[in-house]
Amino acid sequence: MATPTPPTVPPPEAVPRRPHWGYQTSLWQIRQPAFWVFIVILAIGILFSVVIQASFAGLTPGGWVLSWVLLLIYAVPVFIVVYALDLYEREPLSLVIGALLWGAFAATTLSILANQGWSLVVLSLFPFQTATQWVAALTAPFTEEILKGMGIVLIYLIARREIDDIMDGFVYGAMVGLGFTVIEDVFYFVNQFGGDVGGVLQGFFVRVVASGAYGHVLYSGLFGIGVAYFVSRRREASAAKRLGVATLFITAGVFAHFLWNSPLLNFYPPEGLQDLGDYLQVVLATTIKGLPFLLFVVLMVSLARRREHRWLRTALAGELGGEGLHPDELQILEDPSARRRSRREMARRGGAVAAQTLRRLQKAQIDLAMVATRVHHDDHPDLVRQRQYCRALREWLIAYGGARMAGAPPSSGRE
Amino acid sequence: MQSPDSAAAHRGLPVPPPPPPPARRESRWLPAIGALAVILFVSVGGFLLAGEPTAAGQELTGDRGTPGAPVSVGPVSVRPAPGWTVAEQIPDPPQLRLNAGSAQLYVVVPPAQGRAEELLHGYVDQALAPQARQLSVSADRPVELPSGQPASLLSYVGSFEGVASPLEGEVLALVSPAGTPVVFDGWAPEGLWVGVREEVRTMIATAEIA
Repeated sequence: MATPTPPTVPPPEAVPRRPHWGYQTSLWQIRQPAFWVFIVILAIGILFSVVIQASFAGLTPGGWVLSWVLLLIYAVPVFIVVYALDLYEREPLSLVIGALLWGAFAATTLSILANQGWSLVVLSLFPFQTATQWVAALTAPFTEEILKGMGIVLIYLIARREIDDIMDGFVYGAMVGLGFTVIEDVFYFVNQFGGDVGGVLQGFFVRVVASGAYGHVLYSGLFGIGVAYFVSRRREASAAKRLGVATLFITAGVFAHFLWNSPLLNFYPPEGLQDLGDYLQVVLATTIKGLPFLLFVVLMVSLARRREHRWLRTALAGELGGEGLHPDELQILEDPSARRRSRREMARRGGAVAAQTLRRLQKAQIDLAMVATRVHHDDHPDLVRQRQYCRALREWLIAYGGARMAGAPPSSGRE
Repeated sequence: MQSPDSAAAHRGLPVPPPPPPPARRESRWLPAIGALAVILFVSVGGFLLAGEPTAAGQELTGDRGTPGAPVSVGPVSVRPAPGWTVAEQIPDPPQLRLNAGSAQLYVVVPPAQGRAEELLHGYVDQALAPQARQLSVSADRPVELPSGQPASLLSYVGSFEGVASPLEGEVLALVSPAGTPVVFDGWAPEGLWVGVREEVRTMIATAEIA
């Protein structure tokens, strides 16, 4: 008996075109005035930042390089985690990187200017002793949060359809905050902690190990949630409610930053870092000021993810049981860890190519949900093509592995 | 001519739904200009509201506030600006430290001789630099006090042992007509110096040297 030839894996080019799949837009929107505002300010910021970084590098070359190495060790995983938070519709990379660059170069450069100017206002309004105690709390939380937040607003204006849920706002906000914190930390490591190896390591402990979870990523994430709520809930809430909720989130971000900079709840060791007890005290001090806001953001992100689950289920309701999606596949699709487990199992049984193909199937099925929400007819060519593509990938997997789909319940009986 | 709606109503048929309203065109320019305006206001608004568009270019004028009672430091008499108090006074060599919060003015009559520039660099090398972990110093420049007394001035920014935030300040050195060397060092945490610089300069400008 002749062995049936397994079908070939559909090449990537065979993926149906997604005209605007969930409406993916790049940063490069030359017809949008907001794009030019974004680009011009970013370019100026980059120029200034290069000069500043060059001066740091000249001042303490070893400390500057060490600062960057340590901060990349922190920033790369945070970038990946934040980017992967969006379960189904990852944001276009150009916009995400644009947000990161805005935070790193535009917002930091403008903040240097803004903080100096508004410090003068604070100094003119309060007695000097009071002003020096409170100036950091009365300037940076407002100037820096607004300047970072304007990056999120500009990204929204450049690609309005990309921010369609609060998770998107959090992702862009967190990226802006991440860029900002990296550049600010280099400044602190070199200037405030002395710039030598010991100083940089001490700075890394204080600003990243002890406080990395509570800083600008958190504040700007809250700002981003506020912006996203305002622009994405037009059909569900009145303008007044949207404005109120957005203001609440943005104020929460500003207040978190204000509390961090203020002398309130200040439990830092008064004599600096002398022994192990001082280091532990720093961790305690940062936890008291930052943890409540971190928990709040975690709650918001969890709710947003739950909403995304519901959205996926609704979007795929009409496809369930069809050629594009089987019921047992939906269970796996909804759970990122189940998706990873299924790919590992497929790799074990069918090898790396099979696991990669399963990944493509899962991605194609999420795309199917996006296409289903975009088109208005059940037999729309895009939808039909996407279903056929999913079926082709599944058939290849079954033939290649000669077994049921990895991760599917044993009783599915589909193979 | 009858409209389709009125014709349908006339024949007793249900009125067809009205056509959907045209899609609202979202303005592209207005929000971008608004965002730019917010960015500009936040970035430079502080300077405009504080009435100090540029931090540079201020001269030693000595015309701010009502000074307190004179405090002597050797042959030098300094009148603290309002809000400034004596933090430390040492007789030998004559030294005085005034403060207002985290802003400081240190006055010393060093046991050294030489020109103002030499005094200035001697102070930086022997007093400032040894305490600093990082120090960036400007070139010195000649200045003239309102009394006509020539002096030498430089600015610095740096991080110092035991001080949490970077400091910036100015050092002014002069040699009086009687040959008395005096060094004034005023500083404050980075970003705050610009707010107290005038007060410090006023105290220096109004100091009397025997």
